[in-house]
Parts: sequence; structure tokens; C-alpha cells
Amino acid sequence: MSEMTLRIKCFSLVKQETGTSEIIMTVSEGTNSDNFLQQFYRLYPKLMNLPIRMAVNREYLQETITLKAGDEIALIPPVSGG
Amino acid sequence: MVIITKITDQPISLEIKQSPYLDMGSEFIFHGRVRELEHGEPIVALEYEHYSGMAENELQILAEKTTQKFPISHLSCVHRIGKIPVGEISLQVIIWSKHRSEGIDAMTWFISQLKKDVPIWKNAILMDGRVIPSSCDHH
Repeated sequence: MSEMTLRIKCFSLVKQETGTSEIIMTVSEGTNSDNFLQQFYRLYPKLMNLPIRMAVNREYLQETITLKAGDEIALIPPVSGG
Repeated sequence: MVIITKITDQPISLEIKQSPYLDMGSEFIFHGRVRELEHGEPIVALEYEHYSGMAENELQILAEKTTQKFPISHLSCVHRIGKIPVGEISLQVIIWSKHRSEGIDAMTWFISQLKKDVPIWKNAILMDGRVIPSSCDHH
């Protein structure tokens, strides 16, 4: 099966846990957002305890979608603006 | 109807433009300022980070939703990011409406939603240089 590359943006507590603001991750083509999250949590299991929202290409995800090569994914921990 | 949203690393001015709406009797101006204590510890500043591109979009979407939900005529919001010293303004929201009640409701709802949806985070910089996440439960 062929592979594709995703760009993962990390902020706040997610950045603290991963140690970086951006990760390039290679996954199987056809991976959906739920599969991706499972794979990501295997790499960073502590993040499973955080109420994280996922955004793809700078929009909050409302449902499970199939990811595409080059998608920009952000794992958004609780925000604290204001 | 006018909606203006901006995220900036520059200080927020206290100069407020005169309302152009002669039929709007209510003007609410909210300034969020950096408090001197974080979890009881004195701080020198808050450092805000944002998800560039998405934070701007979410702020604009939220402002549009607010004007659809409440009968207001104008909403402007400026959120400052980067390092903001104690006492300085991090957030400015201005709402003009015909009467006060819709302005109060719109302001309360807008700020509560901002604290849930707009991808902006803050850390407190303590006097000794340590940096700790800053959170506020008063949504």
C-alpha cells in the first residue's frame, strides 16, 4: 500500500508533550482521522488524557474524514484566549 | 452591520472611535487585562500563542455567529498575542446595539465562546523566569 505525508501542528500542552511545534508523519494512504489519532496516541500516550479537538486544514473536524496527502492537522488542547 | 476582528502582536489602543450609529443607544467596551497573579504567584507577563490562520478564521466566524444570534449592529474584537506585561490589554471587544440587554448578552456569549473555540493559548511568565500554563475557569 502506498503512503502519504501529513503535517502535524502542535500547540501548548501538545507541543510540551511532543517537544516540537511541527511533526511530519508518514501514514498509509486512505488513513482516516480516527485511525490517525490512534496512531498518534500510540506515539504520545499521555495526550490521551487531554480533551483534544482535531482540526484539518485549519477547520475543526465535525466528523471522521479520510485524510489526504499534505493535509495540515492540528491537535488542539483546551484553549485559553482572552 | 459591521464586524471587525484582528489578532495582533501590537499593544491595543484605548482610543475608541465614536459610534456612527445614531439609533444605537448602547455601547459596551470590554478590556481584558493581564492580572498580576497566576495561581497565587506574581507574574511579569502572559505569553500568548495562536494557531496562525485558524485563530483569525475562528474569531471571524464567532463574531458573525454573534451578530446572527443577537440583535446588535457592530462587533469589533482585537486580541493581542505575544508577550503582554501585567496590566496591559490582551483583549478588546466593542459592541454597539439599540438597547443594553442585547449588548450585555452578546458580550457575555461572545467572550465565553472565544474561550472555548478560538485556538489561542497563554502561559504565565513568573518573576523567577519560570513559565507555567495559564488557565482560567471563569468562562
